[in-house]
Order: sequence, then C-alpha cells, then structure tokens
Amino acid sequence: MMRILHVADVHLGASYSSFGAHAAERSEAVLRAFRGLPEVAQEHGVHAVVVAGDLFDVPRPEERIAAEAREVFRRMLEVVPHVFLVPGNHDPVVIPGPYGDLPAAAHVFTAPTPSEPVHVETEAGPLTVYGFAFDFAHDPDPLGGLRRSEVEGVHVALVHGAVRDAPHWSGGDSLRLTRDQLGGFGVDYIALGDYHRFRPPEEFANDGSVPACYAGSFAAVDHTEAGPRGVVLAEVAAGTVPKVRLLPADVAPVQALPDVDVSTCADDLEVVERIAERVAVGALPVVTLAGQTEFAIDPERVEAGLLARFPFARVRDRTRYYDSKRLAELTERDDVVGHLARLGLTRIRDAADDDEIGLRERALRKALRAMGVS
Amino acid sequence: MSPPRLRSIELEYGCHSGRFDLPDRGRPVVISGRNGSGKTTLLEAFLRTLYGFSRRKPEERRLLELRRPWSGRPAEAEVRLIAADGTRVVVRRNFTTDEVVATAEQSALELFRGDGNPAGVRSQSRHYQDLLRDWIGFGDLEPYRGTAWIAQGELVETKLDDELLRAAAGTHRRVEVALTELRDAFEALTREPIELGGRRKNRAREVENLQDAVDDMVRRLDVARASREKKRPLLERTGEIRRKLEGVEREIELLEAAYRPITERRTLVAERREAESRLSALSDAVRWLGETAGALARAEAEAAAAGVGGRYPEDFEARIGQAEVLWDRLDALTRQRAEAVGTGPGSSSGVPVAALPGLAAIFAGALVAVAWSVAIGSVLAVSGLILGAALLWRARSADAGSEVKRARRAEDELARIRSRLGEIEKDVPQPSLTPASMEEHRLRFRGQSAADAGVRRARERHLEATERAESLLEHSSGAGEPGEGGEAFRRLEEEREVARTALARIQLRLEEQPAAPVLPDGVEPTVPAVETAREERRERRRHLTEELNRLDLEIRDMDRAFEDVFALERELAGLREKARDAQCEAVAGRYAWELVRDAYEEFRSTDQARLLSAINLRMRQISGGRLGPVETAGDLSAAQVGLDGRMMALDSPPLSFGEKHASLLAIRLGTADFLAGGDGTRHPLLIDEPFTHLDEVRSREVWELLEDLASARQVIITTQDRLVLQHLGIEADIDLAVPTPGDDDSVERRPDAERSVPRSGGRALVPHEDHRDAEEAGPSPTPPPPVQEQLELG
Repeated sequence: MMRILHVADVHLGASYSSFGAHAAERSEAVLRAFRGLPEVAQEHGVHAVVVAGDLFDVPRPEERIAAEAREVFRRMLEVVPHVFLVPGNHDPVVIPGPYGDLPAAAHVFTAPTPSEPVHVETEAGPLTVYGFAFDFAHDPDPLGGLRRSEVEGVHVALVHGAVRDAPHWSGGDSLRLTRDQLGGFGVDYIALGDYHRFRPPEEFANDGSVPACYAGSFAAVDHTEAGPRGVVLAEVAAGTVPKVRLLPADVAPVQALPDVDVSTCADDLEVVERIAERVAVGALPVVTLAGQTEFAIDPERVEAGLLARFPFARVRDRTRYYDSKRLAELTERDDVVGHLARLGLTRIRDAADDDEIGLRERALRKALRAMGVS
Repeated sequence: MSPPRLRSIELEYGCHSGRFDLPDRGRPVVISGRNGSGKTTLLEAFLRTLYGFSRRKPEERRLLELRRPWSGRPAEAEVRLIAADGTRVVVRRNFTTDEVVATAEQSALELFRGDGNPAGVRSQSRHYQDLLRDWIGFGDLEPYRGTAWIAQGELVETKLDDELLRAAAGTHRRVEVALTELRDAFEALTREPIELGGRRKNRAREVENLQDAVDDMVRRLDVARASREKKRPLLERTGEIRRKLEGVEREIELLEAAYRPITERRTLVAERREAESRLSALSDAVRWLGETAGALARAEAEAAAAGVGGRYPEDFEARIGQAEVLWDRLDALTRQRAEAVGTGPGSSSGVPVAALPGLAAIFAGALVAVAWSVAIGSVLAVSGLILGAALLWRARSADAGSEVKRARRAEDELARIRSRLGEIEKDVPQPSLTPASMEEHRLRFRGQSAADAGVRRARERHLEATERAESLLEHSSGAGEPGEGGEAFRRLEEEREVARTALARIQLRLEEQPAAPVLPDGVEPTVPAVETAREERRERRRHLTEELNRLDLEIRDMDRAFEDVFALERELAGLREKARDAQCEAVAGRYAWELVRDAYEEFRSTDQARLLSAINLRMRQISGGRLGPVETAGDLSAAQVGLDGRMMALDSPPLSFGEKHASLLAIRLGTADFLAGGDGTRHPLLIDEPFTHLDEVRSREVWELLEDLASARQVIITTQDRLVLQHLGIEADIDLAVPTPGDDDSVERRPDAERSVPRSGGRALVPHEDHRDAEEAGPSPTPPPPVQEQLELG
C-alpha cells in the first residue's frame, strides 16, 4: 500500500483579511504549520507527496514566502524523495516564479497539457504520476490528452480544477472537470485541488468508481471555511479504492456554530457564555445566533465578548426579538418606548423582504438600546 | 431615578426669617397657619430660591420688592434638596445679586457659582438651568408653575411648551440622548445627513471610505482584467508557440532517436564494405601470391632446364658479339695473310684510294667551270690533278715498306684474337664456341636468358605479391613480420578468415538493425537527411524559444504592471462585505434614529389626550364621578368640565366653589400625573389650600388622594383650615403664626422641628440652631406688610 501525502490550496502569502485583526497572526500560524509538513510526512511514512495547486496565493508571492516554500520542500525531499506539484489558478507558472526556484528534485508539471507521465520507483513500488499546468489560453479542455500508461504500479493524477458539480463551480479561468471525466482517467487516485473543503472519494461516487479526493484548503483562508483543514493521507494500491484520511493542520480551525439557540439567555453576557462553552479548544467561532430572545441582543457586544476569549470570532444574529413577550410588553407601555416598540414592529411587519426585516429589527434593537431599554 | 425632594429652606425672604425643615413622613407635608401667616410665601420661597425672579419683567421686579425681608437683611435663601439622581444639593441664592451657589452637600463640592437669573441667556445661566432640570425636573419656573404649583383657587395658564412637554414626554431627555447617540453613531459611519434635507458633511466617513475603496478596487480589478484580456492574445500566442515547440521537440527527439541507428547502419555498411574490400584484397593477395609463387617455380624450373649442360655467362651475348668481330677479324687476317702470300707488294688496293682527293678536286673544278667560272674551274681541276698524282705516288711508296710490318702485325693480332676468343669461350658450355656453333650457343643462351628473365619476372611478381601481402598484413590485427612466402601465405589465409568472420559479424549486426526508424514526414532515413532535418528543427526551436521568451517577458512586464485578478477579486469581496456591513449599519442606524424620532413625535401627538386622560382620572377620584370629563381644545385655562351631562366653563355659575376647586385640583393633579408618566419628572407638588370650599367628606377624599400621591412624590400642602386638619386627624408639620413686625414667636414649635430655632429678628418659630448669632441680631425695623393677593406667581 502506497502512502501519498496529498496537499492542496495552501495559499501561502494570502492576506487573510477576512480575519480582521487576527490576519497577521493567522498568516504566521499557517506558515508555521506549513513548515511542519516534512515531519508529518516522516511521521506517517509517506512514499510520495503531491501538491495539487495553489501552493501560493499569487503567482509571485513575496520572496520571504517563496523562500519558506523552498526550504520546506528541501527538507521534504530529504524525507520523501518523490514530490510532485502542479500549479493552480492562483499561482500559474510564471518566469521567473516561485515554482522555478523549488528544488530541482521536486517535479513541477509545467506543461499546459498532459504529457508523458513521470515514473518513479518508491519504496512501495512503482508510481506513475500525471499532471499538467492548466492554462486556459493554451487549451481550455486539455483532459482529453490524459492517457493512462500501461506501466505497472500505482497511477496518480494530479489536477487543479473545479468539479462541475461542486458547490463553488464558477467557471472563470479554472479548469472544469466532471465526475465522468475523473472516473474515465482509469488511475488509482486523483489528487484534486481548487475546492477548499475536504471531499473524500465517497462524495464523488459511492461505489468507488471515481477515486478522486479534494484535500481542501490547508487552513481556512477566510472565516467562511469552517471545519477541520489540513492535508490528506491517501493509502493507494493499484486497482483498489483509495483510503483517505484528513490530517488536520496545526492552525486554529474555524468552527461554525450555526443556529445557536439563545432563547433562554437573559443578556449578552450569557450569550457569550453559551457560545464559549460550545467552542472547541483552539477553534475560532463563527456563530449564527438563533431563537426567540426576550432582550435585544447586541451582536457587536457578543462579538466583543467572544474576542476577549478567542483570537477571532464572528457573530451573525438571526434571533427573532420582535416576536418576543418582552417586546409585546413594551408595546403595552404608554410612553415613548411603547410607541417605539409598536412603531418598530409595524415597520418590521411592513418590510418587503427578509433583508429589510433584518435591517428594521436591527434598527429597533438599536433604538431600544439607545433608549436604555434592555 | 427617584423623585426629587425638598428637604429644608433657610431664608430671609419677606416675612420669613429662619429655617424650615420638610419632614419625610410618607404623606404630604402640611404647612398650616392662619390667613396672612405666609404659607404661600413660604411655598413660593422654595421655588424662587431655585428659579429666582426675572428682572426683565416688571411684575417680577415688583414681586421681588415685596419679598424684601422684614428683617432688613438682604433677601437670600438656601434650599436643601435631594436631586433626582440622589445627590444632596444645597442651593443658596442672593436675591439682590441673583448669584447662586450650589454645592454637593456631602462632598462640599461646588457644583455651580454664578448668575442664577432665570431669564439669563448667557451660557452660565443656561448651565444652571440644565442643572436645575437634572435636580428637580424643570429648568424654568413657568412650567413648574403651570403644572406642579397649585395656587389657591387659581388655574394658571398651562402651556404645553417645550419645557413642559419635555417633562411631559417623561423619557424626553432619554429620547434626546438616544437621538444624539444614534446620530453620532450614524455620522461616525457616513457623511450623509441622517434626515432629509440635512447637510452633507464634507469629510468622508467609514461608509464613503469603504465605498471609495470598493470603487478603487473595482477600477483596479477592471484594469487587471483588461490587462488579462490584453494579455490573452499573448498567452494564446505563447500557447501556440508551446504547441509548436512541443511538435518540434518531438521531431527532434525522433530525429535524434533515428540518428544513431542510421549512423550505426551507415557505419556498419561502411565497415561491411571495408571488410568486403579487405576480404577481397586478402583473397586477391592469396590468389596472387599463390599464382606468383607457382609462376616463379615454373620459371625457375624452366631456368633450370635451360641451364642443363652448363650455364652461359651473363655477358654471353656481348661475348658472342665480340667473338663475331674477332672471328671476322681473324678471318680477315687469315685472308690477308693468305693474299699476302699469293700477290706481293703493290697489289694493294690502297693506291686508287689515295688518288681520290685529287679526283675530287678535279671534279669540283669541272663543276665550278660549268657553273660559275671556267678559269677558276680549270685552276681547281689542275690542282686536283696534281694533288691526285702526288697522293698516288706517296701511296705506292708506303705500300712497299709496310708489307712486312703488316704481316708481323697480323700474326700478332691473330694471336691476340685467339687469346681473346679463348677468354670469350671461357665458362661457355660445350660445344666449343665457334661461328658454326655460335647460333646454337646463341639459341641456348637466349633460352637460358629467357628462362632467367622469366624467373626474374616471376620473382618480381611474387615479390610484389608478397609486398602487397605484407602491406595487407601490416593492417591486420595480428600484425607482425609477414615472413617468407609460405608464412605470408599462411598468415594471409588466416587474415582472410579473420576478415571473413568480421564481415559475417557486420552482416549479422546489419541484419539486427531496425528496418526503418520513425522519422518526421518528408525526412529520408539517411544520415545527411536526418542531420539536415535535425539542424533545421533545432533552428526552428531556437526561433520559437526566442519568441516565447520575448512573449513571456512581455507578459511578465504586464504582470508586474498590473495586479493579480484573483487577489483583487478576493480583496474586493472582503471590501464589499465590509462596505455592505457598514452600509447596513448606517441604514439600521438611520432607521433606528427615525424610529425614535417618529415614535417620539407619535407619542407627543397624544400629549393632549394623555393629559386630559390623566386629569379626568383625577377628576373621577376627586369628585367621585360627579364631575367630568374635562375637555379642552387647547389650553387648560379654557377647559370645560362636564356636570350632569353638560359641558361648562370652570367659572360658570352652575359650578359651586367646591366643584370649581375640585376641578382645578383635578386638573393640576392630572397634569402632574401626566408629567410624571413613564420616567417623567416627579417634581415636588406644591398645593396651596387643597381643602378650600370642600366639605369634610370631600376633604377626606382629597387628603387620601394626596396621601396616595405622596407615596410616589413629595407633596407639600398649605392650609389655614385647622378644622379640616383636626377632622382628618392631621397635625401640621409647620404651623405658621400670623407675622407682625418684630414678633419672633409667630410660629408654633412642632415636635419634629425641635432642632429649629427662631432666628433672631426673624419670624420663624423654628429658627435653625446654627443661626443663633443671627437670632440675636434683633428684628427687622420696618418690614413691608404682607399682601396675600400679591403672592400670586403670575
């Protein structure tokens, strides 16, 4: 059984602007984790490493980033002599460019179309790797040129592109793939890059007819990329369905907490507590608050409360306050607040769409808070 | 917020001089006294201390004059109160200068010092009004008078002015704060005005900055995309070049792959040709060497056969020639000797010969004579005749003398000839060499010479063959001395076998060569063609690579000049999200501000209805439902009250004094309730003579109503009706005596006012002990008489 470390979408040098003040810290954390890849490969007795594109976030990253990559691959080659890379849509091959500066022993597929595969002898047997540097200008549909070699051993295709049925299918200059195409390669493993969520072969076909796998992003590039991220350890043997396992990178993952019901919370502080007790150690919460609250939640305060505990947090408020008993009580008051509550509710109910409802509820909460009503 | 409360007053004001404490008993504070005792003045003193007199109004100035202390001291007063926020405040006013000093009682911190003129417009005055508003609920006396000051039998015009309505709104101040807070937050976000028609700020805020950043990013992205579009044909060209390069590379690979077998084949063919040539040469050499060897042997055999019977010397032919000469000479000598013996002297034939020159001269002369000159010819002929005769003569004489010598010499010569012939015959095979055998010898010699020549030629050819073999063998692998013929032949044979084997191997290798290597179209499978094609492809590759590098350089320059589309798109998405968030925040802020504003306006639009509702509630309580409702289209002074199903003015005859008083009281209390609505102000309610014209039942009902009010706010009442107090079982907290100038005992001491002591010269019955010194100062010399009708506030 051949063990292949499948890396993709590291996006070295990304701005991480979505993480706000945490961006710089996160950038360093990703670099730190990336530096540890050779040790990961060694620990798992990897026979070959494949990088399925978007190693860099831009074609010409800062020299500091390029130097980090060179050093990591230099050390990687000391551990695993067989390293293969294809560029992605974010980091197409340019001259001069970071791919050209990688150690020569790391094989970078720079041809724009599939050419002759690379055959190597690994400790686990012969390995044949197919890859190419997709170039829309050269050939928008180069996959017809991918022909399986008759050489014995494990055959691996290295492709950076968007599978047509992937949720983020967008077209553009990305390579477009279909499951049928993937299944038709006839190789033992298809290491995919571009799609940022880990997607094992079972998600392509239950019967194992499409041995493809998206490794997903190495670490969340923005706060919408929730869940564990890292690299894939694929155990591949000729003619069998590959077994894949996600090895999480040592970078704080974004933990999505959708629909945290805060109906029973009495104030913002309690909301913060409720969220905090659900956040895994080391994770960065991205929370959507839900439920029917009896007070006007201030998502900014909640977020500020979370930021006091976590390096990054994002709070989206989907709670319904305007149907609460508390608000109904307020509408009974014969004072400005009563008028405010009634008028606010009327405006919410007159809103044309959900966005407008959200805005008007937000306005009502702001108004009530400004009036000192908790 | 707790309701503010007046705690005490210490004053030099009109007929009052001293200190009066207002106990907090959970019921209305009762100030009693007979008519003219200064009850209303005392109530008024609380408010005037706080709010002062407006110097701009003549009636106010006149009233201030009336309040000149009877003690003759400057008019001043000090009110202690508990503000709405719980702060204990001491307000001291000098009525002469209108200077106000306010301090925090516990910390002694001076809160205000300055102009306390209620009509003042300076910032100092306005600041003081703000402080008053915080402490007591109103910054101005007028709304206080219109709402919480219930004068005896009066209904002071109640204007729902801003000050009053601010208080009436209850949360008005909160609304103001909220609107300010929301406006500030909004204006921190955007330069746009929060309300329609507002002024747009000059400086951009977060929303505009973010939108500008988005616009800038969009522009950058457009430029980057345009650059990419501009780059696209270059990229397509590079793609085309790469494809061509791939094709050229493939062809070069094919040519290079084919070149070796083709060159190998060519080499093998050449080797084969060489091997064949060598084999052929060796075969020829073998054959030739064999032939020459055989020819040599045959020649040598022929030479040997020709040599049977002896071998002729090499110069036998020359010897024969010499012998023939000698034989001729011998014959001649022999014949001469024989003739000499037979004819004698003169018989020599030499004479005529001697005469020949003369004959020649004669003949020449004859020719000259014929051709040229007879004379000269004659001379010549004669000369010739003479010369011939002379010569003939001389010859005759010589012959005669030499005959003997000649015979001897002939013998000698014969002997030499024979000797010479003997030498010539030496080594000549038998038979003896004679002219007769000469031809035989000649034939034999020539046969022998021919045989020898044949041997020489055969030897030469053999030698040549041998040398050639040597030459061939010199190039053989086992080069060495070829040796003599047999050895050379053997080695030649061996070498030929070697060459034959080599040729066979070459042939085998040739047969093992692939039949026809794959070559690009149009390229002949020959080395020159392949070389030419390869060079041509290499040249094309060089051109294509140069163009590719140039295009890459152009693209790189573009990449340097323009930004990465993907990075910009992501930055733009982030910026748009931020801009959207900021915009939503601004919109929500504007909505919130509008909501508060509109809610407040809506609330304010119900002021009149709420006011009348509050009044009517009190009216029902006070009148037991017999009076009411109170209605008014505008000011409360124009209010009408319902009585027995009819609406009538308050001062209409059908209303008794009691009913009118009850109506006025209900209006004031209702107004106070209205103002206290929600978080509204609960300023102390000052009610002058609430029991006037009321029977004992109605009085009790009013008292109970006031007691109820006093649970939520301070209520201070004055009454002169001791019977009612007695009926209600109430003991006055402050009982004022009718003051007379110089009377210091006009106030009865109350048990809870034990700490108060009359001021010297004052008329307070409970003067403050801290003012004993003042108490000793004596009464005011000539205080103005109390004028009750002048105590009205408006």
